[in-house]
Order: sequence, then C-alpha cells, then structure tokens
Amino acid sequence: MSTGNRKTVTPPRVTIPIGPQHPALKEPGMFKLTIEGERIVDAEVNIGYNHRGIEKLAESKTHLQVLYLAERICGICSATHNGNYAQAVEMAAEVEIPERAKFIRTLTWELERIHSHILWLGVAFHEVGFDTAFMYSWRDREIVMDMLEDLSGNRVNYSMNTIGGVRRNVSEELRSSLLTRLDKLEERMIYYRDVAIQEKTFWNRVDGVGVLETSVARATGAVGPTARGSNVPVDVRFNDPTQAYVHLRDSGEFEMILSERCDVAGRAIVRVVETIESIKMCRWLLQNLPDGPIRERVRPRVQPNEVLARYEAPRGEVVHYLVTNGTDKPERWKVRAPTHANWVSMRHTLIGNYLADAPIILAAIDPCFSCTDRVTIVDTDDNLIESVPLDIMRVRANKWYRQNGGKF
Amino acid sequence: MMQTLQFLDILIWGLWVLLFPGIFFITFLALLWEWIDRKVYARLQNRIGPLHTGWQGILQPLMDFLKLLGKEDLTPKRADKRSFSAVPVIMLVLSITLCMFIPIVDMDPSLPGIQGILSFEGDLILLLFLSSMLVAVIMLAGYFSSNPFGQVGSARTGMLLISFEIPLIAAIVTPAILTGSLRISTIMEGLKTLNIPYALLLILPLVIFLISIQAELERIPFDVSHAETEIVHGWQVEFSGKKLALIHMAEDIMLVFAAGITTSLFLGGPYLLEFIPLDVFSVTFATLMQTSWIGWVYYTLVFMFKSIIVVMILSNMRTAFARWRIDQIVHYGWKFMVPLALVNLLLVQLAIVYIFPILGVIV
Repeated sequence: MSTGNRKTVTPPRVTIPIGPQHPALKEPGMFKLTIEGERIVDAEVNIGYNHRGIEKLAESKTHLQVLYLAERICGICSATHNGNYAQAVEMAAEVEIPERAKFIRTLTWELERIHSHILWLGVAFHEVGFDTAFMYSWRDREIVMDMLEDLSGNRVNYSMNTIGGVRRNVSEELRSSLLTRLDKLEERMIYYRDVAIQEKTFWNRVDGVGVLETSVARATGAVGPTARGSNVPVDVRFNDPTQAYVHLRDSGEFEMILSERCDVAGRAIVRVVETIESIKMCRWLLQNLPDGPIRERVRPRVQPNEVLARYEAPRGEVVHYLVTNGTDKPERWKVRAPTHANWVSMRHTLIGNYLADAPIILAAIDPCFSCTDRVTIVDTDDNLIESVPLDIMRVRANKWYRQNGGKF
Repeated sequence: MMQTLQFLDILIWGLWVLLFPGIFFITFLALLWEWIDRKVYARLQNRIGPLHTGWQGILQPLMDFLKLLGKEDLTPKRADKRSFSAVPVIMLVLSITLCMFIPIVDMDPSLPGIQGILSFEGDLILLLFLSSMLVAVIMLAGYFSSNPFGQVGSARTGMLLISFEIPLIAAIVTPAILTGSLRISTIMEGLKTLNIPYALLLILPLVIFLISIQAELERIPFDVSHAETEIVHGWQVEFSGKKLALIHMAEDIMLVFAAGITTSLFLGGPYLLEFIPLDVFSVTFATLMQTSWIGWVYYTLVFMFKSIIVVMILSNMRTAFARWRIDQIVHYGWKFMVPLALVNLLLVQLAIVYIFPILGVIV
C-alpha cells in the first residue's frame, strides 16, 4: 500500500461543556471544550453568569455605603475591593491617611493574600484529586482566618477600612499573638511548599501543563501570579506601591516572586512562595507598626475628580476607576478585577492539553467569577431582562455615546 | 425419604447462598468495609468521617444506600433504556458471584481445607474472566448513557483495563505457580504448608496485586474514570436513584472481593493461629476448628481481620496520592507495572526450578 492511500484515523470530536454548573467550578462559568480523544483542540470561554449590577447600584449610594457594597464584590478578596475603594476616595478627596492606618490596612491586605493563596492551594490539590493535602491546607488556613477575625472581627468581609483610615486598632496583646501565629503559619507553608514540589503525583499533574509563554502572557495582558508564573514582572506592590507598601519596598527585604516555568507548576510555586513572603511582610508590618491615630476625618462630599486606584490583589492587579462629582455619591465607578485580565489567555493555555488538565488549568488563574461579571442589561421600565451579545452591545453603546456627546 | 433429604439439602444450600457466607454476609461486609474505608480515609485527612448514624456512624453506608434507593430514578432520553437499566443489576450480580468464590468457611466437609460456596478446579480463571467482564460492563455503561462525560469515562476505563489487567493476572498467577493448582481453595491450602523462602516470593506479587486491584477498583490515584472535578463521575454521571444505589453497592462488594481474594491468595486465608509452629496450635487447634462449629466463627473472624488490614492498606493508598492523568497511568502501567509483573514471574520460575533446588530448599 502506498503512503498516499494511508488513512489517518482521528478520534471523533466531542464537545464537552464545563459549566455553567460543574463540580470543578466554584462559581458559574461556561467553558466549551472540543476534544479529540483526550486532547483539547478548541476552547471557548464564556462568562457572564454571575452579574449583579453592583457598579450601577453604587451610583445611588454614598461613598461610605459603597465601601460595604464593594466588599461584597468578592467573598475571598473582600478587603481588596473595600480597601481599594477607600484608597480611591481618599485619592479623589486628596487626603493623606495616618501612617498607622496605612500599616493596618496593608496588614489586612497581606493577611487576606495569605488566606487566599492557601485557599487556592487547597483548591488546586482538590482539582488534581489530592484531597488529603486539600483538607490539610484548609485546616491550616483556619489559623489565618482566626487571625483576621481577631484583627477585624469578621472571618470574611472584614469591613476593616473606612474612608480616611481603618476602623479597628491593633492592641499590644493582639500584636504579639499575631506574631506567634505567623511563625506557626510560616512553618506550615514551608511544609506545603515541599509537599507541592516533592509529591510526585501532584507534581506530574502540574509540570509542563497549561503553558503560557512569556510573550503570550505579555501580549494578552495577564496579571498577578499568572503573569509572574510566566516570568512577567508585574506586581503593583513593587511597581507602583501605595499605603505601607512604599515602606515595605524601601526596606529592601522583600522581592517580587517570579518563576520562569510558564506552566501551572510555575503559578503554583509563585503562589506558595509569595505566601511565605507575605508572612514575612506581615511580620515586618507588625514589628514596625508606628504609633498614632488610625483615622483621618474626610468630608463626605468629595470634590469633582477622576482617579485610578491600583492594588495588587491576591489574583493580580485590581483597578478601581472612580469619578466623583462634588456630591457624596460616586458619578461613575468601574472595577477591573484581575480575573478579567487573565481570561484572555485562557484559550491559549487550554488548547493542546489533556481534558484531565482542564480543571487545574482553569483553576490556575484562580478565577473569581463574581469579581468579573459586571455587564447585563435590565430594563427597569418594563421589567425586561435581556442578555445581549457583546457586538450588539458595542453598537448600542456607540449609538448612545453619539447621541449623548460622549458624556457619562 | 430420599425426597425429603434432597429438599433439606437444597434448603440448607439456599440458606448458605442467601445468608451466611452468601449474599447477606457479603452485603454486610460491603457496608462495613465502606465504613472502615471512609473512616480511615477521613481520619488520615484530619477529618472525623461518618459520625451520627449508629455507633461512630457505622450505619452511615446503610443509610446512604437506603436513601439512594428512595431517590428519583431518571433515565436520559437519548440513552439505550433497556441496556442502561440492566447495567447496575449485571454489575451487582457479577460482583456477588465473584465473592461466592472466596473461601471463608468450610462449605464441603468431604474435601480438606476451606472452600467457597462455588469451588471447582480452575475457578481462578473464571474469577479473572468475571472481573474483566465487570470492567467491560462499566465501559458499556458509559456508552449506553449517551453522555459525553460518560463516554470519556468509558474510554478511560478501557485504557485503565488494558494497562492494569496484565499485572493483575501475572500477580495472581504466582501463588498458583507456587502451589501448582488453579483452584483457590487448593492454593490456599498449599500456601499454608509453604516453606518460608517460598512464601517470601509472594511479597512482590502482593505489592503488584494491591496496586493493580486499586486500579481495578478505580480508586485514587487511579480514579480517572470517575474523576469528579474533570468529568463529573464519568460513566456514573447519568445514573441516579436505585440504579446508583446498586452501582455503589456493587463497588463496595468489589472491595470485599478485592480484600478477600488478597487474603485468600497472598495472606494465607482464614488461618491465623495455625501458623504458630507448636503442636497445640498447628495440630490440636487446627483439627478442632476444622471439625466443630467454633471453626465457622473463628474462620469468619480471622477472614474479617485480615480483610480489614487489606482495606486499610487500600485506604492508605487512596490518601497518599493525587489522581494520575490517564496518559500517565498508561505510561506507568506499560513501562513499569507490566515489566515488573513479567520479571516477577520469571523470578518465581527461576527460583523454583533452579535456585531453590541448588540451595536445597524444598516445598
């Protein structure tokens, strides 16, 4: 038989939906994977199942109320949105908050990063079927959850920040108790780092999986550990620090965690090592906590201003764009959550991998759907809810801007 | 007179099949093993495990089974309905049949040693055939349900089968070679009188067998075919209610079979004190157990004890690893397990034919 007649048998293409409801997803999202045998040949990412209209709602609330609304954007990174909104309003009002408030705010943020990364580590272990490590890491996550509770009074949605400072002070006993618990946490995290690297069954599942090359990561605008796992040095804490991060950077004791691996293992290592770095940061913050007031009074009416507040959330850079108009309510508030920036590269990382790796690749960017989904159309006049495709919406938006002359 | 005797015989046999070493006892063991498995798995994960139903949650598997029986039973529109409904029943029947071969108590006093309910020359081969058939039924189950997740799960089950069936069989054959029989009860009797150097030859096949049986049972790290985070329980995805309850029961019974066959072929069956080299134990005690009713209790308890050890080893394996990807499993199976199993066979043959006669060790 000549080679020309040879038939290549390819397995039939099957389209497998992951989502909107799927055990691998903690929140609704839709991923259509086309597979040949076990290989993913095409992927379609479709999000938008978790829209709640928070930005529109914010326009009818005062800045102080929005603070508590912002925290409900995400359950895991609640201090992120809460603190970043407070930061945005302070920038717009052009006030400087006390040093101690800055330190406590940063401390809350860093503790939140620790809890978020441990949570991610547990989820990652679970996605590859390593439930034992999942249970262990979540047990030790309780340490940092208790620390946050002692600090702020809440396990989630800390409500720690207010416009002009923070709401609760750190007493001397709390400071020493937090420091002892940080030691314990560090010891456990070093153990998990070794488990992640040395446990062969786990390592084989993440090694060389979901490769996102440095160039692609740059081109698609990846942020956070996703980008740093691909050796792209983006970290707002070091590139454009605010609050006490300025002092942290200037101390020179801390460095940005980067990995040249570009795969899921790289992202995992970045997160785990970053957690250890975060613990050190927390310790530094507690040891160098300055004295003084924790709150500066800010007038409820904020002068017309337009600011962009950036902060490195556990998942990546979060951007709060705020327009104030001289009243006590925001004119326009736009949140760009880190997951939104990381979706773009998702298709690229999925294609060519095994179906079995899809959950861990999806989980590797630590997706947060409720952070991201913020577009839907609800017509309040006749109670009509319609979902609109992006292109039609763009046409409508262009039309509206033409008619209204580009004003918000 | 003849008539009544035959009738009584049938009645007693029926009771054996239904009650004691038969279906009821096997089901009881299945639920108990599941509880032990869940409890050990939970404790190793720093969890509590089942707690509320019965003492330390010992009745939880039974409650789960009963509750599933009462749940709504749905059949997908696109599924092949008759075959789809047949799958759980066939699985259950096959797994119970497999357990009938396990020698627990003396079912045939006319023969020496202990036999299962079913026992004949060459039953080991039938056993392997039936266990492979069970996997084939699992593969079909996924395709019958016409669900993409089910189909992927089935394909994975097939790949698992081709990778781990060979080491499994090669490992199971080793005790048969050592004792020169294909009958489980004879093999077990032979193992009892085996010399220590010969018994040492069983360690490597035992390890191979435990790994392969873990794959056969589709437990971590080999649970690719119903990986919940990837393909939502794979071939089981469309089964619900009674069907799922029966499938779970069949899986639990497979665990009983796995532990039982390991006990019988590698751990010396339901004998424990007989191995002590004192006349009191190896002769007097053994004869007493073989001839009186106390033997039935003793053998059953020893069998359960040894099985529990095997179940705990399997639970430990489940705790210690992450799930492998299917290509890694096939790779590992063919590049490591199959050669290891063949080397093991070679080693056993060499030892029996050349090395042991030179060293002067006889059976």
